[in-house]
Amino acid sequence: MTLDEILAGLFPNGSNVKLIGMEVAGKATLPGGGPIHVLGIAQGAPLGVDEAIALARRVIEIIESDDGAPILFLLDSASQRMSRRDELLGLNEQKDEFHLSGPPSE
Amino acid sequence: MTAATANSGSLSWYEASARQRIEALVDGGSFNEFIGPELREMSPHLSIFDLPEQFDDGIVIGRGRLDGSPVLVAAQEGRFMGGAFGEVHGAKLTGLLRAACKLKQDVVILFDTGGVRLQEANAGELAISEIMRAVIEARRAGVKVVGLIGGRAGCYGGGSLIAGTCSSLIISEEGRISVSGPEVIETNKGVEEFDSRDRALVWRTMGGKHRYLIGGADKFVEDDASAFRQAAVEALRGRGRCDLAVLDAEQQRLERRLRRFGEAGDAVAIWQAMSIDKPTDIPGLPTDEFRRRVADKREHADDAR
Repeated sequence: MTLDEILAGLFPNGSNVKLIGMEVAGKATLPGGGPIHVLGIAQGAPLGVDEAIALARRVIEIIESDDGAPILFLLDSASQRMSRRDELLGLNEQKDEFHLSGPPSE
Repeated sequence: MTAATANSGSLSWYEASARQRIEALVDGGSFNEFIGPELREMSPHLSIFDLPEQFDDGIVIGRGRLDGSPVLVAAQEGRFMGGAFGEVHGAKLTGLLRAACKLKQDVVILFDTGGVRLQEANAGELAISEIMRAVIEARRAGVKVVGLIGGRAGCYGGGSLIAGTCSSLIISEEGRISVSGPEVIETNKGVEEFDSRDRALVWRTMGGKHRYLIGGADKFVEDDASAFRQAAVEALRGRGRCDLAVLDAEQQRLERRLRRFGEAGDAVAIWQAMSIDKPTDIPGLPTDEFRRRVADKREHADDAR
């Protein structure tokens, strides 16, 4: 299934979710009518420092908007990005900023 | 040292066992273990692979006093399966953190781990997630969670993710923090990406000095149990806040790191960009001189948490 098919299936009332690089971000309308944030990683992309900190930023923005809408996280990720650069720059911290602000799973 | 200390003499943190570390960390004779080896709470998975089990599943948890104050303690045994997280090992730490949240008692975690046990990977990964959530819930309840890193196995994989959620981290030169270990990167991406046999590369990419310099660890200590103890006492006096303001400050700190150092190809280039004098000398400097030389140059999270 493609991301568009998944979104259409989940949100028949419509969604405004964009794929920016491998990052999924946007908002949708729940079948019951309420709003929901949609975040995620697409196309099996690995999560490195740049992706993790960008997602963390989005979660913090959602918290600060204080709109009470839930967050749906769509995950299609190979794993962490295994590279010298990512570890040099402290991938564990960048990922944790994301964990601390949002989903508590690995 | 205070009168409450019965520990004397020097003990290499790197060489010590989990139980020796706890003994040297807390006030003399104050430690009471929970779910000790006599209860034989062992991994339900290892026997399937004909692998040896350990009565404590490679982690010691309990309560003691540190400089007179009650503290909950967990210590991983890096010499059993590289200190890796399995189902029971992880559950013991999750339970300790949940108790900390209820009792409003601070926690010290002595990390020594290669990550998740491959033989019980799903249970281990779940345990990592549960532990991270339990750390965050404890911190949100006002509990401080201090991590100590300087063991043989380092602090890799899921262990490094747990470490990143702690209120503060204390590290020695021998300590290493990294999500993917050297061998993992080399196996997946090739020796050109990371030569795991190049020990100097490993130390300066993941080792205690680099982590301290970029703000990935908060205190840098000698490889000595009494130095870890002293630093833990100080860390537990910290504020330990965990709210939106802290998260925002952390976010800005980490974004700034990527802006400043994102193009650097090697740790030495990062240290150079920090205006550290003679950056190639850093790996060889003794503890005191290292701390002095980098004191006003290093990045840190003190304002953030």
